Amino acid sequence: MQAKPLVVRDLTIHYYTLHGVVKAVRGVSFAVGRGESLCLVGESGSGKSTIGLAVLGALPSNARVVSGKILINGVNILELSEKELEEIRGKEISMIFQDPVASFNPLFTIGQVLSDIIKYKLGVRDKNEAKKLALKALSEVGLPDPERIYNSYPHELSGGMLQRAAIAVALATRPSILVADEPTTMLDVTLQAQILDLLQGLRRKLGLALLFITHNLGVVAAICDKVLVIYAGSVVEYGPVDEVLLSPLHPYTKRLIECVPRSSVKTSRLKYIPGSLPDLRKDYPGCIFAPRCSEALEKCSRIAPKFVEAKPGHFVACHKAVKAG
Amino acid sequence: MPVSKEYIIKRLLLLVLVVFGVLIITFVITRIIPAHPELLWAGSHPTEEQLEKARRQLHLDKPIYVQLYYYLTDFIKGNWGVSWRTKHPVLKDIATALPATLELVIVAFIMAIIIGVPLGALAALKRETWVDHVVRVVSVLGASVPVFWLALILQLVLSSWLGLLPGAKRVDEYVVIETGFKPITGFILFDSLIQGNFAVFTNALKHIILPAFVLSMYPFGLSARMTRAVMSEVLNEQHTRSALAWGLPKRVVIYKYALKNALAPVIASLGLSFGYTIIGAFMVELVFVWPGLGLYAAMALLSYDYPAVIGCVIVVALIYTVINMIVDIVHSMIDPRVKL
Repeated sequence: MQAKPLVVRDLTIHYYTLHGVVKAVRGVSFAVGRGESLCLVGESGSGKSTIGLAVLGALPSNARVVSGKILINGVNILELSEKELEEIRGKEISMIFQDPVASFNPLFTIGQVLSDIIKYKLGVRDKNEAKKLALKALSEVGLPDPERIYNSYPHELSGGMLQRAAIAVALATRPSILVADEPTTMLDVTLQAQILDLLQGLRRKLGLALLFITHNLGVVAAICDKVLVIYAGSVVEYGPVDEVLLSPLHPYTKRLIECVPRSSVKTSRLKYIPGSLPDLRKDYPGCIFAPRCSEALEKCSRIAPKFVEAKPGHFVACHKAVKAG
Repeated sequence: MPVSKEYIIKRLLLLVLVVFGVLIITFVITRIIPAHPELLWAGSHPTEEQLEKARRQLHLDKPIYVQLYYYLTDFIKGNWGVSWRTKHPVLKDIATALPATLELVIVAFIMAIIIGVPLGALAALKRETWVDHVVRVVSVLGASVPVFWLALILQLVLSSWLGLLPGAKRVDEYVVIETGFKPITGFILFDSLIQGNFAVFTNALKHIILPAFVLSMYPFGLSARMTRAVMSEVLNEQHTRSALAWGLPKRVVIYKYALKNALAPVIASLGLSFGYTIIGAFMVELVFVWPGLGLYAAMALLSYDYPAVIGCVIVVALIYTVINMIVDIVHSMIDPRVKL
């Protein structure tokens, strides 16, 4: 069996701030295979975006990977130099971001960015050839009139078009992995579905390994094969998307799903999870969710639960869930 | 070019308005000051008859609004009066002096941008390292050292003591005479270059280094500080991170993409610093005996030469307005979101 394009093992990332060391990611492991899509789900501040940046070797300067491995097509990128990382970005892994408008430099046309990437990443020096490839990339993401988009500045296009253009730019160099950090959060609902469909189609067509970062469980259901639920930098649950969404094992996942407002159920109040994220500067001997957990047992705050396979392919880190299962 | 006709018309109207305003102000000031121009006009020991004639010639015998009428029409006709000091028409004097000043200011600005922008960018890239600190100290010093002091010190050290560079004038006369150099536009560097007269060119180049360097200190400091500030902001923006994530090489992202974002505000601030630089030019020209507008205006001020002073004020106001227009147009060329 061929190695999976993206493998992350026991990743631990700390932020060094004026107020102390923030342990943002605490031993996270996962893998994404060819044509597979994995969703990282969690609240804001759970460390999911940090993981996304780390996978590209693009962490902010005050963050450091303390331990773990990030293997991209078998190569541990944590051991690469900045120059070698530059080589890998775009070619083997690329990324799209939450804000499509801010993702483009306002002073350059889409075509300029696209042509530059094709020039530097694919080594196409011929201008006409580069333009041809660029137009092809733009039409691939379903943009009408690629010629016009090519010559447009970001402010002349809508958010939805820009997100498509961003996908075109990210995939023009045919990376095997695409990291999508909340790419639909800033778009309105009809556009969200279109962008998700597009990503879904491209994933199948190109055999893309898709790492999808979101806090929106509706989006998770639409695009993912597997789900990794993250709370305060730790993995609490992992499994196939139907399993996790329909029969969640971890109390945190259950609460998260309960928080999604449903039009079919009439409720007077929106639900939320009481309490807030724990102080990430501290270490916790037990389950990190225990203080907010309504089902917590006595030992939860003392002993860290092991991450075990409760059902085939469905993993959870929870004393109670395992006991019940 | 994204510049509309309306914009050009608006700007030209503004230009007229500015000049009109300056004319009114200078008119009022010269009428308030209790001077007796007819005394200067008529020469020493005039008879009452001569004075009467002088008043008639200067329209001083007419009501004030008629005087204003003559003042404005004379200005439009290009009759800006005769300098009391040089006895030449003011407009002719200015036409001779202006290219010298413009050449000096242009060279100073080019030096400022060529050194200031890359240094500012470097400081932004190496934030909080010794490079950043050195650039900060140098640029703050550059922007705050008094021009006349720096001019005198450099003249003393580099020219007087070490004899490395000439410390006065635009060009040595003997080179001009020996090579038979004839100025065309009055910009010596430009004229000598298109005539292929390299002797005059190198001579003029040596002369311009010191005064231009002194004059460039303020715009240099400004552009370095400005570039650093805008660059550090741009480097933290999402589009910089996206470009890097998409695999564009770092040098391309910085020197092609981010630098262009930094350029517009830097150029705008340099345009605004132009007024300050002209004031600097007055001092620099005085110290380096540079035969430009600054020296001319300074001498005119010191000898109460009102027509010359007014002429200089109007020309500087004109240049200032035109520079602002150019800055706007350049901005619109850099930034496609700006529509003029």
